[in-house]
Amino acid sequence: MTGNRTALRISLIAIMTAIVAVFTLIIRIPSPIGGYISLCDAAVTFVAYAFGPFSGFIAGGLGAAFADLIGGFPQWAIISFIVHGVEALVMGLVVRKNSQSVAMCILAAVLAVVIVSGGYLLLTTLFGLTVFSEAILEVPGNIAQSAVGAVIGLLLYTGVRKAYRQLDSLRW
Amino acid sequence: MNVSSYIYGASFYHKFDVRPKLISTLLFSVIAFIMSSWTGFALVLLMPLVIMVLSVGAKETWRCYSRLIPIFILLILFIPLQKRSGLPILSVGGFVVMTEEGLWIIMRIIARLGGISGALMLLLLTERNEDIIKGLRAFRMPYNAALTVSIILRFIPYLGSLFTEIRDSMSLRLEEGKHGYPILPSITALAVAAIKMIPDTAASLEERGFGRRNQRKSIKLPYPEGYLTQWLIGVIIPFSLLLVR
Repeated sequence: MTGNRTALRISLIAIMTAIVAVFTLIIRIPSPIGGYISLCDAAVTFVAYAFGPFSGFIAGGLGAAFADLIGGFPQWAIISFIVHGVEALVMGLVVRKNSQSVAMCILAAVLAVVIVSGGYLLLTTLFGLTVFSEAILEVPGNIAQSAVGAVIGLLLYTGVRKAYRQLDSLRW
Repeated sequence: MNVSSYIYGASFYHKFDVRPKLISTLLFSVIAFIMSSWTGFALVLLMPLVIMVLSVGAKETWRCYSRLIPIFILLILFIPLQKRSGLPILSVGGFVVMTEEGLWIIMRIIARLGGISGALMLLLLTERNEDIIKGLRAFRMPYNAALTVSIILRFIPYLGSLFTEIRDSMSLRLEEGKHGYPILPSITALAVAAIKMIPDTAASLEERGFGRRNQRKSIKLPYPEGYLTQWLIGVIIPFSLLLVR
């Protein structure tokens, strides 16, 4: 039974990581400083809501990092892993008890926006991959992406839950 | 959707074993952060670029590095305006355009960004994904982690092509004369299809022996000719940068 549970966890993490990577790669609008705007945050939000904070952290972080590696932006992979992993972890923890509460969903979305925009600003500067004045140009794009992503992710979660009733049984 | 950046070739870097290549990439990325001389910056930027041109050709090298050009242009435009102190090296009509300190910061960031991106892209262009996983396994990457990465790499192209099919069928449902596809229903269908695959994939793992007692825990990679030399080159090249630090 332990083996079976581990096999299920590995499958869940792998397929959800692939979903985050695919969502990130299917729609990409280039940003002026060399990055891009995508549906990454929608997928991260969905994974955090559907499978909780820890699956969300691994799948969200790894999915974003894989998308950077595959999509030709390997220099952002570690930063994306940290930012989107933490985003999913925090969102998952906030909505863990009650994913139906509107106040919790709004709080989770606000925290996601703060983590993504602040995280990229802080880490790209800290890692010495850009300067603060340039990194700040990316902030409006990141705010828009994470805010829209949080809304789409929540709609996606609601839609998937209606279409696939056994969704909650896969949570761990 | 293609997950592999690998380009077939017979260059000296293609012939390198994956293990020294992984360590060399890691060392190079770390050492790029501690360089603090003009020569060091130039070497960090140019070393992977030259090896990439020799390994995969100029066209592919341009494709990789061209993504960084917008970042470099913005750095060149913004940093001089921000860094006004230091020895002026370029001024127009009394207005200082560039100082030595500004140029130093531009070169440091361009070298770091270009060097690290180049080193990572070089690894992905000259090594197959499965070989990179084998190399990581040789460095004691846990079995479950390697298995997860293999499944991820298997599912990304599959889900990518599944999305294309869903998107095309969704677009057929639109009224005549309308173009595009409804995004939310398309991604919902993709997410549902993906989640339904989770129990099946877990069952397949079980069927293939996952969780059994005598499963394969380690992997033995062969030692190619000149393996020791490859290790020496892989370690000496990044460390030699410290001489001009």
